[in-house]
Amino acid sequence: MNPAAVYIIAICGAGAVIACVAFIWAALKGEFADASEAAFLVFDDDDVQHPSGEEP
Amino acid sequence: MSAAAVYLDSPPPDVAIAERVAADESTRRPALLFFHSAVAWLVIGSVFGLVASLKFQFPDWLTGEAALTFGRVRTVHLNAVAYGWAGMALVGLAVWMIPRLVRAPLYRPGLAVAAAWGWNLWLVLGLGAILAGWNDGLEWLEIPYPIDTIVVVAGGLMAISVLGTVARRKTKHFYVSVWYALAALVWFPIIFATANLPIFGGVEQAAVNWWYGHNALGLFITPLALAGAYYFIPKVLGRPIQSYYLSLVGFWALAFFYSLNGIHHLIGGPLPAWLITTSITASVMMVIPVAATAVNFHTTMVGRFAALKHSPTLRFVVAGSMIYTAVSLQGSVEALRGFNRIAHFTHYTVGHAHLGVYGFASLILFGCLYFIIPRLVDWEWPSDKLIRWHFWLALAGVLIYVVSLSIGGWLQGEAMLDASRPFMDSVNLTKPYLIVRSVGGTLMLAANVTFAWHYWLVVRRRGTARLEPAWSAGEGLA
Repeated sequence: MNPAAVYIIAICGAGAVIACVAFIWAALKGEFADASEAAFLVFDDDDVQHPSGEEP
Repeated sequence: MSAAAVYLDSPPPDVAIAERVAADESTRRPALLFFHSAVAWLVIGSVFGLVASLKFQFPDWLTGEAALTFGRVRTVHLNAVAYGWAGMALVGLAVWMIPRLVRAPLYRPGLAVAAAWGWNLWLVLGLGAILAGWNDGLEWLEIPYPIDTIVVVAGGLMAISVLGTVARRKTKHFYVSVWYALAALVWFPIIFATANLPIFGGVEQAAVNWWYGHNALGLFITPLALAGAYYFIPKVLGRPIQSYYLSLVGFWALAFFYSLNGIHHLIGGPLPAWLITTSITASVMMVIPVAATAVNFHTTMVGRFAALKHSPTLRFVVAGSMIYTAVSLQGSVEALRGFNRIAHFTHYTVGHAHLGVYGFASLILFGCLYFIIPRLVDWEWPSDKLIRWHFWLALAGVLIYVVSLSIGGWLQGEAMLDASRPFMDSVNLTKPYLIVRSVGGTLMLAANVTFAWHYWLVVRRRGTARLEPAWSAGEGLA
């Protein structure tokens, strides 16, 4: 196998493993369970137009 | 559902205000240092870019000094705008935004300040080395790798500060901007350190070089710019992003598909066909996160486009987001073998790169800075006219630039593939398009100088103090 291919696949493979671990970690922490609430984290007292009270 | 129930993640209003103020106080010094530096590098990098472009019309201009020849001037332009302007402004954005979103002060702000100084030192020494003729000879990695150790240390300091902040978060969830920003700040050191390892040679080096070059855009600049768009579009509109779950689909699809994209730069090169096919497939798969993001931004904006008239932040960020969709889909098409055969190794690719870094990332950054800077310096932007000039000069400049190079580059590619035509045909036919490119570049430089001048005024607290944004005609949009 071409060494360049080995390097690229190894690097990207390591990245994919890290991404998978991060994804599983996030899922186990409940990040996706009720994540729509997170959409409101962007709002604080410094908003230009205040949230209209739409539900998450 | 009551308002209190909506904010399940939120503390009582007085506590929330105190936390927001504490977060802003903690980020003021490092964020301003990153932004001041970024604006300086924007002007420096733009001047070098225009000089490089004008050399196509005046090839004998500035040839007496080796430092001012095309190869070095163009390289300084790339590094100054990619790492100096975009890099420092995006990290500054993350430094300012993350503590607000996790409701915790920046952890050890002194580390972030040191990181900003280190980043500047890296660029000063690195660009000086390039001008002196010392470089690594790899695109996007020209700064000699011994000097690169400075930015690795700076990145480490930055990581301690940001990760320490996130570890002390008071929110249950990460907002999607935090996902994007954290991922970019983790990905960039990994790809940068890997690509700089002095162990690659020959074709491996070329493969790793383009794997890095494309990922610097896709895994560093892109996610940080999208983090800004996901933050400011809902915030200015006062309306949450249309589908939060779709925003997560966009993030994770980018995380899974992007890293193999870069090898499509080597289509036709001495690499295994399956590796290149894998890269083309990954490039086309990028349609998924791009479509998810585009649909989400558009549906959030529907019915509210009138706000663009009053809010420079929204105007710049939405224009940049629309260009993100365009440039990303263009990139997926460019990766296809039939298209790539003509467009590759031509000016077409240069136009594409500028549409990405300037049309997409820089426009979003300008919009973010129009919101952030008045809050950091407690002074409003003095002139609504300068903001309007900035927007139209930047947009017109980049569109003229990209259209001219796309047409000229395509014709150049067809000419190079026609064995019956002499090679010089492919050079001569691009001349008028390169003149138009310089016109577009001049407009972009004018936009950047306009912005830098206005930035200087607001930072120096010049002009009349305003109680509300100058541009909003009292309608309250920033």
